[in-house]
Amino acid sequence: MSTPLVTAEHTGLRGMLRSASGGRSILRRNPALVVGGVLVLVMGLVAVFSNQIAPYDPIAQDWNNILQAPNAQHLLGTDNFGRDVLSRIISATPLDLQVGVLSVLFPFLIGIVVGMLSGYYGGIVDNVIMRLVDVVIAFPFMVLIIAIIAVMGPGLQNAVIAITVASWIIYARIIRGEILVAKNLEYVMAAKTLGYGNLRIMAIHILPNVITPAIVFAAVDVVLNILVASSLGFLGLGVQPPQAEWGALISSGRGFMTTGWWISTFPGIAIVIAGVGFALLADGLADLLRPGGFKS
Amino acid sequence: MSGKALDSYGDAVLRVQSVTKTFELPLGLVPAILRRKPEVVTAVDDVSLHVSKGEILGIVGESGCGKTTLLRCIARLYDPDSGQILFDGKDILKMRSGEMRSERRRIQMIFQDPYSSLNPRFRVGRMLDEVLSVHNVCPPNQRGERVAQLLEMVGMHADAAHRLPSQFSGGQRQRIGIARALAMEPTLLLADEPVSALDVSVQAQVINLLMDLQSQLSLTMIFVSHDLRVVRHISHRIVVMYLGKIMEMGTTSLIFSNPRHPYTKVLLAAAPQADPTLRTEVAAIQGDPPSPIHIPPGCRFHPRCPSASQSCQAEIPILKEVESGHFVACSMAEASMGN
Repeated sequence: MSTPLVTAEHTGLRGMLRSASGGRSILRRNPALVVGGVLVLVMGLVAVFSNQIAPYDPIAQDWNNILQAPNAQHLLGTDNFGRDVLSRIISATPLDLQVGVLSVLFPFLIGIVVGMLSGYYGGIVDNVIMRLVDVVIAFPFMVLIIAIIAVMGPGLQNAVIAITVASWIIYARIIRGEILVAKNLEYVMAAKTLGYGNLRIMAIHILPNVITPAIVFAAVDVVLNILVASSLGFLGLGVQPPQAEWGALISSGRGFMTTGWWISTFPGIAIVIAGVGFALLADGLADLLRPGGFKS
Repeated sequence: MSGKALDSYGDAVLRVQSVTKTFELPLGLVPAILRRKPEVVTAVDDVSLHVSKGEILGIVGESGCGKTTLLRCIARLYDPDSGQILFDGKDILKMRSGEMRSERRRIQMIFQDPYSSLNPRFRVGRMLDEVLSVHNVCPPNQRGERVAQLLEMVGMHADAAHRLPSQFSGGQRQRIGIARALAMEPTLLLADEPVSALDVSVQAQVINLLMDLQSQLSLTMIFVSHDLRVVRHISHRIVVMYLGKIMEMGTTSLIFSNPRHPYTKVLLAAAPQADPTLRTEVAAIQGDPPSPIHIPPGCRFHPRCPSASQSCQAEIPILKEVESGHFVACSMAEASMGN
């Protein structure tokens, strides 16, 4: 009999964790996952300890130090009220990450359940769900979110609800498409002939094999949602002043682009770092979640 | 090879009666609005057959002749449009889902593609253990032992339980698929082209394994294939299908020594022979089978039939017994019999 090409020890998540002690080999095999993971982890730590890390009170105004360029006291300068830009970016981190993650988590869960039912059962269930999806798609994404916030009022919680309403359809469509293919594969038929229940077939046999594209999209979607939250902040529909938020920070600096470039630029860079971090994480996850582990 | 004349209807484990299965082709948006009728593919058309206990029934035919669809109807992966499928005298098509799920234990299937028929994320041990635990056929503390036993039964080492399907070759995967089907101790085993995706050398191993298991466990088996040599080697009785209908049915020796239907004759002539002096004079079949959407009127084989007459274009031949245990659906074959 032939010898297997890959040994069992080096496959799957468990194998990945086991070889985590030899960290260098993971870095070589899946650099995107490591770099993305570290960036997201650092942002997470900044978010958790934002009060301890921030060098100044993010909302304290200092009229003697307005519009200071980056210097030794204020590493990223001060804004037009003399507030420390670095402290404001740090204090905005938990908020932006929360919006980014929560407004992915809820659509992800709703979309996966709905898409799974739609794809697996087909027929009338599929028709009803897909027409509902069409209704949501008919509205431009941003317009729908703004309309919902206009009704419910601005704020973090309502922003998450609005994004959830507008974006669950993407996950539903991804999962439905994958299940339409997977449900005709022979291992699903085998599960049926073995007399397994529909729930077991859907949740244990099909879903783990089709969820990867949705997870990868989710990591990218975190970035998109941070941008949406930032756009809402920019429009004044998101977090309300004086609370700092990356998009709102960029917005507040736009009157000073020529005299105080640092006010808008550094929050912009924070968004870019978050984006790169989650995008790399998504890429690394895609590799890791393939059956049989990641590329060797 | 064959020999056993298992043709009495009394001990039939499975009886398929007038089963028809059609598929509607999806309609585009415009025809749907205009309420056009969708085109219908008749995959299995009024097929009746039976399988006796301990028998291996081979079903042959070109691709698209409905043999896989028929098998999937018997496994109740598809619901036929009409007809009855009697398993141990009970119609499985009338069973509700709960009853059906327990009955499924006794009808198991081996699939064509060993690469897609095993869940890529399940280690072999977990895959077999799941079968045992879902149906509670084995106390939890004995499951590990039973998994090892199943693997050994199909000629694999018990260590295989710790590996993923991707670590095995096609032949080994097919063995795992067989072990999974046997875990439920089925009465009826449905084999859907189980060796057509394998190398020839491995085909022989898997076929011999199936034959050994069949006699050891006194299984009843339906073996579908497009490969006449394989079917001849394994089957006691053979059904020849063309475009959803049975053309000829009989014991293996009768079909091969005395084929009556022109389609069977050309099929046999087309099969490669090891000895070039044994070449038959029957011309190889021309063209492709017609589309199952537009089935020819009369005998569905007449456009390609070397001995078709005028009446074949109008009259649908009925499957008739031409000699004991040998059924043919051809009006010309009947005429040549002189009755």
